[in-house]
Amino acid sequence: MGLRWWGPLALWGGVFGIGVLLLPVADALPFLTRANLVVFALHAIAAMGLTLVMGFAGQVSLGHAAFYGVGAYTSALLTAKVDWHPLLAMAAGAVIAAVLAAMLGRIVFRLRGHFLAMATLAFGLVFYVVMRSWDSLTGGNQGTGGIPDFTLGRLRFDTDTSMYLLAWAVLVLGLAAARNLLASRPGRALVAMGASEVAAASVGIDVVRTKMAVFALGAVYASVAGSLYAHYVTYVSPESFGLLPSLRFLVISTVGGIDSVWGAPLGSAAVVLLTEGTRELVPRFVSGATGSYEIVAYGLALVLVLLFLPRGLAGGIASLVRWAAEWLGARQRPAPTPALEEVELR
Amino acid sequence: MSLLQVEGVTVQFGGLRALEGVSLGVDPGRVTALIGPNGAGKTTLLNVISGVLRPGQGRVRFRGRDITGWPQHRVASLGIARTFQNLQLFGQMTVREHLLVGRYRLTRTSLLEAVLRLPRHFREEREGRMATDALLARLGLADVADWPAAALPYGRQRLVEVGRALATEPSLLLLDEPTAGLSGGEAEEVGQLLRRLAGEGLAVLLVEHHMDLVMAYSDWVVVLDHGVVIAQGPPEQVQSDPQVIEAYLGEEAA
Repeated sequence: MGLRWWGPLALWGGVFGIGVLLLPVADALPFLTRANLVVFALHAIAAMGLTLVMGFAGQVSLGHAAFYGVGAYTSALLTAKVDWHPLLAMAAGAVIAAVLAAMLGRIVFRLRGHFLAMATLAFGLVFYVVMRSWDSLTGGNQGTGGIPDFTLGRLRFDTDTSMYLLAWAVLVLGLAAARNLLASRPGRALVAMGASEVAAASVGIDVVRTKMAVFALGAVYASVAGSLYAHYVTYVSPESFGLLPSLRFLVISTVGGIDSVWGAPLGSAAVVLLTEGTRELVPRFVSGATGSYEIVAYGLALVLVLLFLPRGLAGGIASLVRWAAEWLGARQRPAPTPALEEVELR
Repeated sequence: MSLLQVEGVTVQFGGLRALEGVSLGVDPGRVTALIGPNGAGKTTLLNVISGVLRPGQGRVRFRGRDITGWPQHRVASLGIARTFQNLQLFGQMTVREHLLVGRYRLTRTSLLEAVLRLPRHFREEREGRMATDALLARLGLADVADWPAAALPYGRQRLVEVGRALATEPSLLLLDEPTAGLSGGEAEEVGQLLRRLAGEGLAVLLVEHHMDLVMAYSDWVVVLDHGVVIAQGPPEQVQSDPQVIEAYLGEEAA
């Protein structure tokens, strides 16, 4: 066993280290706080699930925030009201999210075309309305509070910094899981299906089941992030899981690039920088500017990326790396070299 | 009873009869060629056999089992593999990865086992590597194993499709014009490969336009015209059949 574990450990240890280095970066930038880093990591985890769905099932989900909400509410209710351990509540949320996604997928994936977009839009709205209306369980519009801190043994995650490190560690695990998946039998089946459904089916891949599985997996990512979110803010209300948060995840995934697992963290970083940057800058130029001009910034970012980087930031960076390699004369091998392709997909 | 038995298959697209009462059998160890002018219904028949299309009437039996209307992936998991006339490669995947995907039905690693890197993942990856090494060498693709298939010249992309189908270790191989767009020499090589595969006991159903190839490498020829089987028999017999000559005259002259 020994050797096969060292390479991955070094890689993911390094990625975790990058996350730690972001702490002083955030401190140095005037418009960023450590709280922004927590949001960045949580949104990246959730968006990574959406990236898998869009990149491989080839379907757009407009209700991803509802799965984020499933995790958040499950954790909130099970830890605040019946005193479950946060980890157990998180697992329960993940199971519920996966089952809901599989049920939704079972109906939708039998149809051809982009029915998932409509179905998830409806699912997101239903979730939002139920959370608002089911007063006795969810606290309705007021929401549910009194959620305890997340704990692991004797570790208590009650500050921005500790919560960020926890979320980042979960993000790194999520990245590692996604990469492990892609370089394996079920992951190759996903990539194959994303490229040609008829050819994937011709080697025995059950396209409907595979799409259901990836949709459920995406929901688990969102739900885990939602659970962490609930413990972080200690209070959940329906507003955090409506249509706008769903669109935000969509923007993160698209801006980051849907055919790479690195897309979600890159996209989330871009969106946090954009949101906080505009919040800082716009009032300086437009006196009295208030409200949601960050929506305009999302829209702008999306349009710019679709125009100039159709494969998102991750795709753009991969191209940059390839050009750089060619510039440096690394042309011993003919055609696109597999080593560089790895940057994009695995 | 043949390995594959097509019985009275009829397919209708709106007002158009693509296939009408088509019956034929495909046996192990033989190359069966399916020929006919453009629009005769050859690809439609492959689509019916492989589960892409459900026939309006008629039955498809494999090893005596009625598989009519089964979904594609279940047909494939019985050991029926196919290639596509218009290449259906998997985007950026390397040649080796195409063959590894082909091994899907022979492997079991689940999502959880893959994510957690449990022993079955490593064992099946190792087995997959050995099996694909052998197949890559056999198809002459070993030197480009780690290239993206999309970066290969057209002729070798066709071979990748054949390789992906063979990687499923099928007992019936359906080939939809595997030599379209290939040079004469490349087509010859495909023909010889098919002979060797049949020699090993594989049942091959070949849709083909190259007449020379069909005559040289097939054991049995079925001729379709306007969705109807107009002749079948050994190549030399079919070649001199007046009905076949008539069906082909328009095309040959054009």
